[in-house]
Amino acid sequence: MKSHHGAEPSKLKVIGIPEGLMIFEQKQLWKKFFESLGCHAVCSGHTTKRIMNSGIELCCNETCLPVKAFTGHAASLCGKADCIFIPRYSSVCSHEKSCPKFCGLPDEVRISLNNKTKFLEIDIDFNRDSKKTQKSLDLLAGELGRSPKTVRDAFDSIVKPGLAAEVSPNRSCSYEPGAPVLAVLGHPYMIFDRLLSMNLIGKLQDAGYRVMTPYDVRRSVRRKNVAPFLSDSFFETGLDMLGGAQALVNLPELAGMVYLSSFACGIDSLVLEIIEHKIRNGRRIPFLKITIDEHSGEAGFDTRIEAFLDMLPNTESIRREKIV
Amino acid sequence: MQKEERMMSEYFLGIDVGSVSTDLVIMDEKEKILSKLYLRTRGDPIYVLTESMKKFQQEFGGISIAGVGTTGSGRQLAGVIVGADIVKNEITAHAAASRKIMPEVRTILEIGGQDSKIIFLKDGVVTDFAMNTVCAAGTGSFLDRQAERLGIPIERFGEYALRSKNPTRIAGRCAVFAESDMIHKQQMGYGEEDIIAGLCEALVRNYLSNLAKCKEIDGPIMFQGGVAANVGIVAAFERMLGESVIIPQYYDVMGAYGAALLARQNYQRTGKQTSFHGFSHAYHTFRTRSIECKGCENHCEVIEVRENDTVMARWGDRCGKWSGQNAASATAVKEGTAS
Repeated sequence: MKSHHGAEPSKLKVIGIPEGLMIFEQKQLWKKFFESLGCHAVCSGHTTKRIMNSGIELCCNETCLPVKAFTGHAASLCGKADCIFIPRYSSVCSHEKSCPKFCGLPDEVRISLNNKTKFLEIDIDFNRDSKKTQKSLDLLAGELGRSPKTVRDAFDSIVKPGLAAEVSPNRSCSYEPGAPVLAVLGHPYMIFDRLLSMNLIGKLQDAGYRVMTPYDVRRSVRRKNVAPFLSDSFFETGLDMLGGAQALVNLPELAGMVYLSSFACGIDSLVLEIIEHKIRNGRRIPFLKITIDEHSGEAGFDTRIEAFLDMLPNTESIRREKIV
Repeated sequence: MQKEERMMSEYFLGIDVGSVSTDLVIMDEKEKILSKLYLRTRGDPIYVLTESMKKFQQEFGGISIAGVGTTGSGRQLAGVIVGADIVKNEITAHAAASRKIMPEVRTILEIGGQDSKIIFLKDGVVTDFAMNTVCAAGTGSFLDRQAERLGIPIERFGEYALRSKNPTRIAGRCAVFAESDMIHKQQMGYGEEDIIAGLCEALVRNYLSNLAKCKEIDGPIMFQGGVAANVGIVAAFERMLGESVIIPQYYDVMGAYGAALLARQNYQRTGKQTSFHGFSHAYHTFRTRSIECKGCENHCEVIEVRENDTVMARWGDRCGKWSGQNAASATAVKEGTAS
């Protein structure tokens, strides 16, 4: 294969990046990666009701809400990009596995969108076989008309360090003692997505609380704190939540924990129980679990949050205003 | 109580607009219930609410209302229509009412139209609680639907269950599964009583495993909410918990009572004059409609409440474009206390 240099345009000019699931937190990495290869990257933007509705229509009924949202994001890019990029996150570091739905994501979306557009993928599997990753990068290089080395270098320098970063790129790890803290637990693509989470974090902040999430805890601390519960390989997002919850439960300012889960999430069903019955019980931290699915009505959701906040002891005075 | 005496005192009105029933309570300064109303909502909260206000108008037209609280899933709507001073979720309202009635209560079981919850208290302070997740399986509206399907008045559902000698096992994990299980058992020829008793047991089993898992249930245990009227469910709870369950006298209007108590608390704290429009206000015409906002891709469904021809409130938008206008209107009621 011939080697190409810097300014040479790629065969596929515009790459569509759906902002859901793992890419929700890592879109900047992928954007930079493709831009460094001379492509133009278009992201799908925030989840809107329209994206959500098209995802629900396209997907099989049984899958979880975030996968449906992701499919909607991908669909919204059809016609706006030459191809849609969907990385296959099998494992981002050794002894850790991603959710099985991530492993099959490119296939799922391809089928749901009926091969309407071209897809690009990279196989990320650092647990078992990083050769698979190299191979998928080489294939990608061919598609883009770039040299395998350029693509591998771009991946190693831009993407790889970000996949299992100490500090999540979009989240701070600062902790200053102060206002009562509510820990919001859940997958980043759930709790930080304004539409899917029905603005949970914003609502808690409006009520006068400081919100912390597992992603406000350094990755190494999250991993260290998992130890009492599990010693070996487990799903990555589960580890983040277990370790994050264990670290946050020791904050003196912690007033309560809210776990936002999506219906039919296998990881949540297990992790949530461990957190509710083991981790928070030592200090009897008030705990609220909310499961959401395709509900568009926020009334029931808000009722639960409001009731939860009402029952937290001695925090009435700090609340600036109530949730509407 | 004599009419003159009524004219002298101040009263508080509590309204609970739930998915199954709409309840109203008039409470005096000593926090005693003067009168209560329990009506089926039947999907028309505005009609039921205005009709009950008219009833109160005939009986208590002259009394002075110092504060109004609304609760239940229709609390926001009710708050706008009557002019509430405090709009609170039903869980907080229920806890307030049970604490008032029985300060030593340790566990509150509560099954309403769409919510079920368990609240643990110690020395009158809530120590823990759990609520059903968004799924409404095993709550009042499901029982209601099954009663309707079997052609049995919901009020008599419990008696049927008690007559059963051999309750049938019904899958209670999911309302849809429970229903198909019930239909299947009916077709097989199981008796009505046994199916109903089986359903009561399934609901209680589901409730306890969802909400009370790994938690100590200490007495006294109070059971409230509309479903507490169902003797079949009460019996199933007592059997499974091995302890007697107390049904408060006003079990069916505890939400409304709680709302009245919260309205009184609010009045005492702020001393503010009530925003109550008066009972006769119910003779105005209220209409609601939903508009799909096309302002952005979210296409929010905005609910608009009109009194005669004036817009009183709008809500349901994510960005505040419509609900933000409520503040300008004098009748707008915000969720929570006015601070």
